[in-house]
Amino acid sequence: MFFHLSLDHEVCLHPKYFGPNLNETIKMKLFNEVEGTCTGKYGFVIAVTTIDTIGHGVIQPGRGFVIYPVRYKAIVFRPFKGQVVDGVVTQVNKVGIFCDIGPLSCFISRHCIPPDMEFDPNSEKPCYKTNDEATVIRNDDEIRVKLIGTRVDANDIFAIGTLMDDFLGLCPAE
Amino acid sequence: MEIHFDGQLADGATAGLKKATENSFVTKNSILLEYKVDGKVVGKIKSPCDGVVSFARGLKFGGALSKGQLVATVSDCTHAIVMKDMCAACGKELREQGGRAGQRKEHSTANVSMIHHVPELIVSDSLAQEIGSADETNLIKTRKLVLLVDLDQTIIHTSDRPMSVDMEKHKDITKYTIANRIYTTKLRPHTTEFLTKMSELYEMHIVTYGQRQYAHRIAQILDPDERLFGHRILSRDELFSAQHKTRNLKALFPCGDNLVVIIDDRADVWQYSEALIQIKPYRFFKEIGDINAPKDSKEQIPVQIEDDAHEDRVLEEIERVLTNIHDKYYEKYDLREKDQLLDVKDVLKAERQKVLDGCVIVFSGIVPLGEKLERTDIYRLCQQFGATIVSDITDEVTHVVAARYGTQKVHQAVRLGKHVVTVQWVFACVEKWMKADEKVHELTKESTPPAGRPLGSKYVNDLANMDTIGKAALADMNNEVDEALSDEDEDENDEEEDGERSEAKLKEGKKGEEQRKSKKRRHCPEEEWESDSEKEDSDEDAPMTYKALLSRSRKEGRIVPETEEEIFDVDDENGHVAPTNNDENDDADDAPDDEENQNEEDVADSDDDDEFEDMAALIERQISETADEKDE
Repeated sequence: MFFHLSLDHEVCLHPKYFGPNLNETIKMKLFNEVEGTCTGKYGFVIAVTTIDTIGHGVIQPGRGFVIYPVRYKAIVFRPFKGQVVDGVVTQVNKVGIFCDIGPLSCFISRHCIPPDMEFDPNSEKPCYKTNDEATVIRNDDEIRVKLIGTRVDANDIFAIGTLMDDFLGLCPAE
Repeated sequence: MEIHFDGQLADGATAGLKKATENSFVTKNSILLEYKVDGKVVGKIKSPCDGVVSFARGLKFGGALSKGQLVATVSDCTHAIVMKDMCAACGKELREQGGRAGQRKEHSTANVSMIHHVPELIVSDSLAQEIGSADETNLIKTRKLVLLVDLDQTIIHTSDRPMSVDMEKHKDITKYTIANRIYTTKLRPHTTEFLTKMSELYEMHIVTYGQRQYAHRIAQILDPDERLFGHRILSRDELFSAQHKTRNLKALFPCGDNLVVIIDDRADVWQYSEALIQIKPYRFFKEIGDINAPKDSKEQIPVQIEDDAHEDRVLEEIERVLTNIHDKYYEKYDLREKDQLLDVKDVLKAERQKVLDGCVIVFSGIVPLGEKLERTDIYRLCQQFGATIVSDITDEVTHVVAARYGTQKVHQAVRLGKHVVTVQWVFACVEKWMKADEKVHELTKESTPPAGRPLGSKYVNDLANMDTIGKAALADMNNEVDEALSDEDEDENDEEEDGERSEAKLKEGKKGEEQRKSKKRRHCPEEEWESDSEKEDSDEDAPMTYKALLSRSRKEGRIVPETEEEIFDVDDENGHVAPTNNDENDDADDAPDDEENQNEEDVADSDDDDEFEDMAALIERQISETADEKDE
């Protein structure tokens, strides 16, 4: 799920940036350091929308670096168990399918793939397909997945998904 | 929990579509089966609880359902597929709260890592067997075998040192950066053709000691469309053992390695497996071995290109060998009795034996005295390739493999008209899997041991190249030793002299050396002093050590200005010959010796640097102390 959250971050700045563009530098540095990262608590930070406050910088004794506390709003993506998401297949093998849901990687085991689909290692790209080849899931296809478990680490999230429910599986090509 | 068909309002029902996979996880109230009456779906059987479903044996699509018939059983999940400590079937968290990876709170049957580059994904033994046998059936069906390919020095050569290469001239060289290091990779001649052809006959896997990123980068170069290797890349990160690649085979091929053929430039990492075809290591960049060798050893020498790298035809030979093996295997397969297991290793063995079949070989000057013939690598190699090895020349002998001309056996063989060949002949046969031309490798009076790096162990190689230490080199070594010895002598003399001198000094003017000495004792920290005194134990002369160091550091340019200034200061202030002046003379006397000392030390060891720096610091401190006292 996506959230719009107010978050805090400390930007550590080298003294060489003290000058007319100080604020711009802090903003740039914030974007660089924050966007695309992942925290277990909030999930993936997708994009910073606004910067609310840039606090007073504190010079670090003995170093000359300055730390600015920054409060910003960002869109975060936090996957939950039971959520249905769309992903792109990155790899198909005999044990299951790997797919990417934006920054989140997800694995769908062969037990969670509908019984009428079978693994075919001999086609040009390995794939799961039905006997009549009406649906074929291979690399770069878009699939709809239900997450059945998430592994939340300090700076990464990994999900387990299933295709065994109504309206899940290959998304019809537009 | 067993589920029975209750069949209310559905007399004469037939089974419809299964809505769950065998052995898959179902949640409570999810639909397991539809049933039909007169072709219309009239009802659904739902799961009464969470669990893994397994359908009753006789249940078929369209089969009649009678009341009370067992339809399916739903049991607890066995967690047969586990990904990052989560069950991939039911999604259950198996890791202990706050535990590390692999610490499970619940038992799982999964313990085989089947997917090359995802070691976190493990499956249960039974499932692995199932998948493995499906793989095998599929391979047989498509008439393929498995080929495990090593990267470094087998089909590519990579250097991690900066260099300038003419990209126009070498089109198959790629430069790239991994983790801030620039790598340069050259494909072995004929690699692309080799891989493309082999991919028709073999399912190819990369098995390398390179890191994951590196392995995948190379795979991208070799196979940009992922047609050849797909995702079958096993790298250092996934290898179970730091020394062998063999251990991963069991996980990758749970049903056995009957179809596996390996090409690698090293036999030891495969524990001399029968399935291995050893390839002559490919070297393109001079002075660089395998940058991903299991045991690390890196030299730092600028890179040049090996001269004969372009004439490398090894892969063409190997292509022929592999094609032959594939054909022979399936030839045999077609003729086999039903359900008979055929091992490609047997085919390999048979083909290998054909190479030197009928050759009776005698070694001369190759196996060192006292070494058991049967234990040597060259013996193993010859035998593997079907030759018979005997120790004495008889009528049956066909070849004499000799290290140098002039041994008794060689003369005897020449008299009897046998082939007299160098070790290179054996290697040539082994490389090509074909009997090489004896004429090319004939041993004559003029033949010198070639300097290349042939296939085979280092040991055999060394033996073949025994005589390559030139006279000049030997003389140099002797000189070096002599020099070192004479230097030591001089030092000792010096020290004795110095000892006398310092005694004299002690008697004459106590201010000088003794003051210094006592100060040294007083001011240096305990440990430093101890290490000092150890040195002195052997020398029995403190001033010498000090002076030697002083002059050494002076030569290094570390404390030159200070010392000299100090000396002048002393002269100016006292106006007469001060002990320091004496010092200066001594220094002058010692200087040449010290220089030699210095050189010798440079050659001999650079490890002393730390100790030396401690001493230098000590000296500097002392000097400043003396200066302070003088000021007072």
